[in-house]
Amino acid sequence: MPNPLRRVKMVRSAIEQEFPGLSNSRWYLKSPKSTKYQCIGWAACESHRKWWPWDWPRHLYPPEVYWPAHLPVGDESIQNFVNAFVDELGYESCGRNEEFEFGYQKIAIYAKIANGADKTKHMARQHLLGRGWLSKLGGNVDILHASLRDLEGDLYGKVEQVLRRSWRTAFSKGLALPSSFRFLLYRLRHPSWIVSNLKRRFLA
Amino acid sequence: MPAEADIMPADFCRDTAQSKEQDWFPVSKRPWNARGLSAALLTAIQDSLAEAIETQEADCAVDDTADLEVRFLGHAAKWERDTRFVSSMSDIVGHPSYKCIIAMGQEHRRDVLRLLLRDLRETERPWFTALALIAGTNPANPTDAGRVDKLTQAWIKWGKKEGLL
Repeated sequence: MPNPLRRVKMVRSAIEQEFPGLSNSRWYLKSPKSTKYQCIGWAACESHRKWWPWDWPRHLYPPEVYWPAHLPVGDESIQNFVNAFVDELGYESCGRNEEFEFGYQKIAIYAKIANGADKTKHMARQHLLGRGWLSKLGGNVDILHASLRDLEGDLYGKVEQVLRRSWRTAFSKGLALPSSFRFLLYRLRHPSWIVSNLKRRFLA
Repeated sequence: MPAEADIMPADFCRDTAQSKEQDWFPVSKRPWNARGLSAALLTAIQDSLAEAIETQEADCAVDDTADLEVRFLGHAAKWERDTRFVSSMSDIVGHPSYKCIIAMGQEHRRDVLRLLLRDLRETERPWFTALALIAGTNPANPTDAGRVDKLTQAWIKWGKKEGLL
């Protein structure tokens, strides 16, 4: 059986090659590769469904990705993603203020802007207690990274918008407990983070 | 100790110095493993496939069904390598290799559907968009948008019913 710590090293190396900003930062692997969800679903605390405004022929419904029915599909602008999270999950805009605020959970939208048009590329969710940001890297692993700057670059562009939601709003909408429970179950089923964190603590 | 599959995806387990960047899917789940080929030979085949695809990116033409499978595996590997950290559907489906696979499906519908379904079952690569476009139908429940588990089950069931699996 391959040494698990060595395997973790390989994973980290591959990710740091793609995201050089992580090389000089503290970051942790949180769960193994999964194609069952991606960054947008993960920002919405979902590990069972992919989100994207994908324009898909009606006669071939359902598409590979979910998007709230009342919002336009095929529109990858930041505003469309903001609307989805505001309408569906009770978030509100807070400009680009990414500082941790006790009592709030934040999400950040990465986008590329070219010729005046913005295209969303990635989303990250702030750790509930402000330990960093949780990012699902496409259909690959998910990680906890210290700063939003760590993932900025050619692939994801830059952070263009931050949204926040108070814990109170989450509880009052009945969103907090189910997603926290799902999140806990998911972590327990995928304990790779233990190996990763042990390595960082004792072997780095 | 956690089970091996829980620690990390198998595609990460190879030594970086020895492996090529395009090796991003589990060795144990590669469809061609069933043929009993050695790991070294598999790596060599995949390397040459990816190289060939790299140099003939726009060439989606295939001569026969054997060539079809080889080209499909090469395109699938390249597509997975290039989009492994991407969430944008337009980037994923707009990748030249993905488009090539769909184009191949227009000409060799049943063969490509069979390859896609087998790959979906064995490597869990999400081919749902290509499958629906090539098949011209979607067997999944309309309420299951985005739910990969449910979509996979529906497509596997459909594949068995159509005699493709």
